[in-house]
Amino acid sequence: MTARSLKIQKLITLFILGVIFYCTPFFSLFNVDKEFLGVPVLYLYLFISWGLLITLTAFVIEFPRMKSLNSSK
Amino acid sequence: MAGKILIVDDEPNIVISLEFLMNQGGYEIEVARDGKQAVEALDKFQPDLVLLDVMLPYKDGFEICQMIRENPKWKHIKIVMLTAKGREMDINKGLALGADAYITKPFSTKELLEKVQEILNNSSNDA
Amino acid sequence: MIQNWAIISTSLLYLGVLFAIAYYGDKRAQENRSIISNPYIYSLSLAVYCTAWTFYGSVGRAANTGVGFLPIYLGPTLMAALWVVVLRKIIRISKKNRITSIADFISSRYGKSPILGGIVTVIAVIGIVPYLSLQLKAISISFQIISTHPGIHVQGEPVFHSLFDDTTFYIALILALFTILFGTRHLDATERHEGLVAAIAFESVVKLIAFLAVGIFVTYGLYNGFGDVFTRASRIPELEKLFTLNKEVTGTWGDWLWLVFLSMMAIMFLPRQFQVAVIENVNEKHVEKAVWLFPLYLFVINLFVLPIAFGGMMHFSDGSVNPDTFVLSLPIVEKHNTLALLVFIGGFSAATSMVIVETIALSTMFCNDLAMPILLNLKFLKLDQRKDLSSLLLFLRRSSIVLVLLMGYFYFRFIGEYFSLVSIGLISFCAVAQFAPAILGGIFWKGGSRTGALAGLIAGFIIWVFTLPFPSLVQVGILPERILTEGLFGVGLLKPYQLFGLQGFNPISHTLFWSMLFNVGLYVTISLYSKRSGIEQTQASLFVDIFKYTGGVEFSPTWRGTAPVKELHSLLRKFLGEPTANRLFRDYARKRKINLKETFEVDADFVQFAEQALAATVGSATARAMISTVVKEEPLSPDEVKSILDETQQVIAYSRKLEEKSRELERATAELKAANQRLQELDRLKDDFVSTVTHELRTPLTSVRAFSEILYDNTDLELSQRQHFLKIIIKESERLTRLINQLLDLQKIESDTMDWNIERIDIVELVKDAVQATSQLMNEKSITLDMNVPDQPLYINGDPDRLTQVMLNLLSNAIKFSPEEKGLITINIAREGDQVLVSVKDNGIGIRKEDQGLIFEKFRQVHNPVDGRPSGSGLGLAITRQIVEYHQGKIWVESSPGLGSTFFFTLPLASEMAMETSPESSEQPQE
Repeated sequence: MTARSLKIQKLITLFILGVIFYCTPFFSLFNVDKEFLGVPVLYLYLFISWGLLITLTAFVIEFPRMKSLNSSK
Repeated sequence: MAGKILIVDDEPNIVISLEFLMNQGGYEIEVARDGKQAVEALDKFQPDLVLLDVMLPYKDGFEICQMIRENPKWKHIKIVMLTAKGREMDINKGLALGADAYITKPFSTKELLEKVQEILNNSSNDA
Repeated sequence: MIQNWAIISTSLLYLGVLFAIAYYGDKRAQENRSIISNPYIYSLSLAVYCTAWTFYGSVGRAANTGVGFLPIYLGPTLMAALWVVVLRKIIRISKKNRITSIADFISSRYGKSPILGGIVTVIAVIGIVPYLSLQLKAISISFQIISTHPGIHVQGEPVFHSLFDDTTFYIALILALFTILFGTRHLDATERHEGLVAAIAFESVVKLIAFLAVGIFVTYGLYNGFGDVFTRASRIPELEKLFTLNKEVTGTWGDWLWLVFLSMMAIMFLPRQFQVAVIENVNEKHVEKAVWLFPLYLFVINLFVLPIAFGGMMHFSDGSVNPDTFVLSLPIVEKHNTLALLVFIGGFSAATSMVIVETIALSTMFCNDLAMPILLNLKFLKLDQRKDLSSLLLFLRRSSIVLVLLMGYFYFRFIGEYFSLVSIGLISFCAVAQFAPAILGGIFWKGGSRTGALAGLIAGFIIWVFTLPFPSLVQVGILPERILTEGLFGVGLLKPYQLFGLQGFNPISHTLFWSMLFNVGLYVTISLYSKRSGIEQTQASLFVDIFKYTGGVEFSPTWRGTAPVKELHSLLRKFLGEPTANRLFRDYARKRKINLKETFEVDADFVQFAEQALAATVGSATARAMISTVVKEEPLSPDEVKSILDETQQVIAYSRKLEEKSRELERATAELKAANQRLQELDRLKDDFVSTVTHELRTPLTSVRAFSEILYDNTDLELSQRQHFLKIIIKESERLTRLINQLLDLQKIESDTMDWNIERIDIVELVKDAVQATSQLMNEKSITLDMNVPDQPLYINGDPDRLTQVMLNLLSNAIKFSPEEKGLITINIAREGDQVLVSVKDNGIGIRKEDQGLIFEKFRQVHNPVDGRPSGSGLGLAITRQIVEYHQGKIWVESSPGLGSTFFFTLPLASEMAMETSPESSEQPQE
């Protein structure tokens, strides 16, 4: 369909990705008492995934014509 | 009555024929084989009439024609365009740029000679 | 210690700057040169979400619960991804219906119901006032801390003086003044405040910079980076417990989920968020960029929360300082006065921006959806007989601002001191979350009804009151303790924190669960079983299908019949004031080309316009009630509305189709134009081609004719001269013949009528033969020949005559341009994979770089780089290329002027397979 509806679909996918990050047991994988480079793994996970989510969103918004990675051509 | 004629053409065989013809007509002759030589010869040789081909290396006949007409000290020089470019457009362009005659190749030797004589006579009558 | 006067004057100076920005913004808006009409300012204004709670409270919460502060920011990030769907729709609806507030939105959706608007307003005011007081508390505490000597241990609790000695009271008044100045300077047709938005965006920048400054100061000044802070904290068991999410300290996984959900609702439905995101939105398109810019802001402002929290906990390990104040206390005890002042201003900006926007939003609601409807209904006031109500309206707006702020102040003085910043904020979040079902259901589900929304809202609100603010009264000491332990009236099922016996939740999750359950449940079930009035159905369609009805076509389906101009005018004058009413009428009349002076009654369209103009100022419910008093006929029945809507829809669909058609036409026209251009280009090329051919034919013909005539006319010529002229004639005739043959060849190749004689041939042999044929010419110019050819034959499939022609052509070119005596021609044949590569090299004059690609084109005579003379007919290389390409080979030239040129061409070798198994391949015709 239109580029607009494709964009909306991508954004909804990102929303679901965010839900997976923060609202599913996926979260508990990182809820461990360990540190990496002195920073607790949970903190690292939360902020890195957050940054990633924002970057992806920016990408979807700012480069709407970018073909999705899994398309064959 | 005689005059000075500058032949500008890059085809050696055509130059030979023109040289022969103009010699027969009793004119003083100089030959230029391209646009650059032609411009030099204009100053040095001070011709009364130029037989000018259009397709020339470096500077084509139209440009030379324009140059001559733009320079007041060459005002008296007559120009006969002598070229294989025979389209209406080319002829009009030549005349518009100030050529006195436009003759397409291949030409009749007699007609050419007569044309040259006629033009040179007119100019001397004017003067 | 920083002197009081320094702090106060800095604060006042800051407010002055804000004032200047707001003033400038308003001025620009009046000149139609908006400074806020871009997605960046829009995104920054959305950051009004980050209040003093973020600025001071996040650190406090992080110090107690680790990452427990984060869901409040993760929720909005998630929600933002859906904005393009949800927020865009809400904005479109609000613009079309001239919505002025969130209460107006809900009321308008459910049939412009005044009751619904009133209820929403009550919930919003009661729910938000604590939140307002929280901001005042933050300002007050931060003022105390910064003005007290660092040696004195600060508890972070406000010390109360008498009312007139209390700075916070004056701050509240100043903020009220500021809000009045920029929120209600005029009653506009739209409730937009450009200057204010500019100021809010500025405040967002200030608080971000201040927070980052203190974050960097703590993380990299007091400690050595993130790793260092956390490593040190990990050695302290109480702090190390905060590193993960666990039940004892930081709350459960379930609590986390509820908070994410809660903040998702808050970012949409907090009155101030609705104000900046929807009402103040200049352009729907700005939403897109905000989808990632706003979460980015949240991300950045939260980066240093954890380091500051842990840094503070370790710095004040005796627990003497309230974690809510770490942001300010840390720079103070480290004697960084400037930083402390910056932080104070940052917190001040966070608090003031929230207070100002929230107050405006609440006062608009309070005035339009609560006060006005009530006052207009009080018959004894005889308001409907007053000529001009606009000054009353303005007064009402202003006094409601003061009222709201005073409510916040008194809440702060008498109750607020008992709670931490965050817990107050969360209570407010829960209150506004009650709007979610009515709004989200309202824009996606046509079935949602007024009674359903009303029931859901009231139920949710009652549960909220009972489970959150009510028990807090126990903590304050107003209510007896046993209500918590034994339940209301001793009924065990009615314990505020364990409603109906539900246990194991923290109070927020507990409230959310029950209120949402009842709210959504009642909203849906009652909607399904209630009968909806005409206007409800109309509004439902207008809201849910907003994108169908707004394709550039105006619609006005709710009224039919007419209204007297005079009465409409006096109605508008009453609420908007004489000048505004006159201006609106004049503009509209001009647009519709009506002369109002000669018109007695106006049509439905005009009525609709008047209602919208009124709605923008007093809200949709009041506007409708007022208009219905002057319109002569009944509103349309649902069926009629539906048919009008369908018609609108058809018109829109039709106009879309037309647009599409005209786009198609445009495309077709463009294509035609392009085709025409191509044709003209071809024509020109053909013309050029013919002209060039004639030129090429005429040139030798000229010599032939001239010399023939000379010979004819001059019978007395010398024999030698005669011979000379005759030789010229012969040569030029040959030239003519050659040219004609080449032309015919070219024409044959191009029109595909050439007879190709394909056979298996040895290219080595062919090249040798060609060289043999030209040896005479080479000898004449004394050219040296160098041949590097393999001993074995190399077979190809090709036409031997044509390929010989290729070689002869290249060789004669090489000979022509080689210098006499010193000429050297080198011929190479080599096998390259399944190709054979032949090259002919000379040491002649060479070809200029710019000409190298052109020489293979027809009549592209390349002028001699030395004397500029053209060479050859200009067809030889064109034919050569055609022949090579026909054999599926390639031809090119490499040359440097003055040093010579090398022509290369490749031909595919006959494959071994073809040689052995398919003899007919020798005559394989190629297409």
